[in-house]
Amino acid sequence: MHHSFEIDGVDHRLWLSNSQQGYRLHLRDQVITPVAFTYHSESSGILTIAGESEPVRFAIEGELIHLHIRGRARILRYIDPLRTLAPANDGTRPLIARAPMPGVVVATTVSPGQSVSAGMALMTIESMKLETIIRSPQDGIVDRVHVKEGESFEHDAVLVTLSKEGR
Amino acid sequence: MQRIGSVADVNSQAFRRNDLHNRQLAAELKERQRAARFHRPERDFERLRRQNKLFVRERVEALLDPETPFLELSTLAANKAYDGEVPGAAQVVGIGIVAGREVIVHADDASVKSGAWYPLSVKKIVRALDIAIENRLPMVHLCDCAGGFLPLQAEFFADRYHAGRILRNQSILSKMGVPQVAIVMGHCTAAGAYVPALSEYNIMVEGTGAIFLGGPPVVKAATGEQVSAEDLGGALMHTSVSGTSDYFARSEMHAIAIARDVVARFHQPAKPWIDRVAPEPPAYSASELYGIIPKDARAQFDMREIIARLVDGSRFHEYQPRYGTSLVCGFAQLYGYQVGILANNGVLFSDSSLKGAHFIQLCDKNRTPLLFLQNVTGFMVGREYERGGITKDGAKLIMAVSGASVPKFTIVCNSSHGAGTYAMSGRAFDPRFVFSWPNSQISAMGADQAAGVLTHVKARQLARVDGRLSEQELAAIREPILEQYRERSSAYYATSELWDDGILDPVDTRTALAIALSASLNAPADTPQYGVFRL
Repeated sequence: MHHSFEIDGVDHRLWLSNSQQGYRLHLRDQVITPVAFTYHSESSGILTIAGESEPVRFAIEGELIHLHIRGRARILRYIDPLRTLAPANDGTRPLIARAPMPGVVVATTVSPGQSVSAGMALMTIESMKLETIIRSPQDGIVDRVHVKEGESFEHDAVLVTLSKEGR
Repeated sequence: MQRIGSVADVNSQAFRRNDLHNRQLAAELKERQRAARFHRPERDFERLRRQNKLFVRERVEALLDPETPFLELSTLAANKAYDGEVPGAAQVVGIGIVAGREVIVHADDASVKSGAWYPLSVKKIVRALDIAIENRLPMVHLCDCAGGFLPLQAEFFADRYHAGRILRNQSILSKMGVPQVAIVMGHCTAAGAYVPALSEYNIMVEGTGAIFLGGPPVVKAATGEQVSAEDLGGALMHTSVSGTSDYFARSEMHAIAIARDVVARFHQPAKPWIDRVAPEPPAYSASELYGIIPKDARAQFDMREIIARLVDGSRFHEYQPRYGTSLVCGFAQLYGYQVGILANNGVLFSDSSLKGAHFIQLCDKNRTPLLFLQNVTGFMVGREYERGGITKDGAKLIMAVSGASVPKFTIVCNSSHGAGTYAMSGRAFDPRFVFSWPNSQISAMGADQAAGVLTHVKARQLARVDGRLSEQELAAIREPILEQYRERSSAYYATSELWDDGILDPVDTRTALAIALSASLNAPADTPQYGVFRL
């Protein structure tokens, strides 16, 4: 499985492998060798690609790499296969928020017709001397709130149902 | 260390004849391997596409780090069994690099009989797990198996090394603290269901992956309950309800990305007990091996010529060069790792056996892995040798081979017969890996001698009924015996039955040994300890 970086909206698949001197860069069907890097400071150094050396400055911020090379600034974004291969709103999550344990509704924070996104708070419940926030399992629109404030419910009871947007 | 001075005459007629012959053998090997890996009826590839499944080779490739070596093992398992219809025993096994870690991969090949387990498939999986245990290699299982091939269940179900051993070995591996990751890419049914369940981590692919003890038809037959595969044991159910599986994956590639992320956090063992120096290529070209290995298996050749084309700088520190000369012993470096080499230069005598036993103890004490290069027709027979104690001296060598606690590696270079097979660290003596060359022959006795003995026995039985047999009649008995014997002592038969871990093109031996050696160093070496030597 290769690494992927996005530059200006275009994905580039690449891999660095060991070679006798430094590394070999595999960029799609191309092989570029040798590739090496010498640090000058924590954010600068000399990058050698196929015998040509260039000074570079860089800053890494999570998955973003800000790179200054040959008088130009560029932004590279590391594309994590775990995220690209698994969209957050994956359709396998139910359109129902169920009770994780028996309890009482303390407060409802949404009302029918309201649009919600995955992870948004729908209601707060109390159980075993502990308040728990029930969050939306999906992006969608609140269809119905089944239990009113102050009412109690059993384990696995349906608390809120959602509907898909645009239905 | 001195460089071996090769005396091979690369321009001689014999060299050229051997070269031509062995290149043909290597080409034939490559072709058979290619066919076993990729040659499938188009309808099987179509079925995989329809099921939204990748071909096993694509799965393995995606799992491994790009541009890293993969030492595939037993590619030609089952090539002489089941009418050749189960290439590779429907399994892909090999040692490779995943997220920078050395791992052993085991993958069911659903393009062959839907990945059904045949007796030799089970043998190959058990062997893969044995390798994981012996070398403490983390393991990745790519599960896509339709279940056992029931017509042959008597040959893979109930015995000690049958399918139950897969689950037992998985449990032992876990007990040793060596992790396993399984990806469920097809149905894992019955015993197959436990493969992901016994792995420390497992991932299920939505839609195609399923785990259940009995599939929907079995459930219907047993209780009348009608249930879909997805509902009975699909990815969503097992990752959110039963807890049988750990990670839910949208696709095979997603599952592989998760597996790589899991392996990336495995502990990387240090390999502190062995010295390593900078590696160096041999001074002689490996391709000259083709001209050195004789076309006629009976022709003698100097094993130093082989060693010169395997080891770093072709340098070899020979131990006791003037004593027991039919067994060449000495130290060399292979990709910078020191190894002790034992190589046959003829039949084993008392002195060569004593030398070998002593050299093994010496290597064991100084923590040097052992490399056995086999070209052995056996121990010397005859009155003089029995009186000289050939059997008790052979016993010393066997005791030393069995007891050595450093990793052992065995290459069947040419002949491997009789007790010589055993004394030179044959399969039964648990070398970490055994590889054969395509020209090699392995059997209890040489083909001609065995055919002679068997013909003699048969002729005597027949003679009791009909009187004497003519020369033609004798030949008619002898030929089929010889033919079958030759077939069953060939490298292809040996690898079909998993007596080795694969056939190597001789020029690849150095690289294969380097990967095997590096893999073996994941396990610490026990302190040397031996049984009673008959002195």
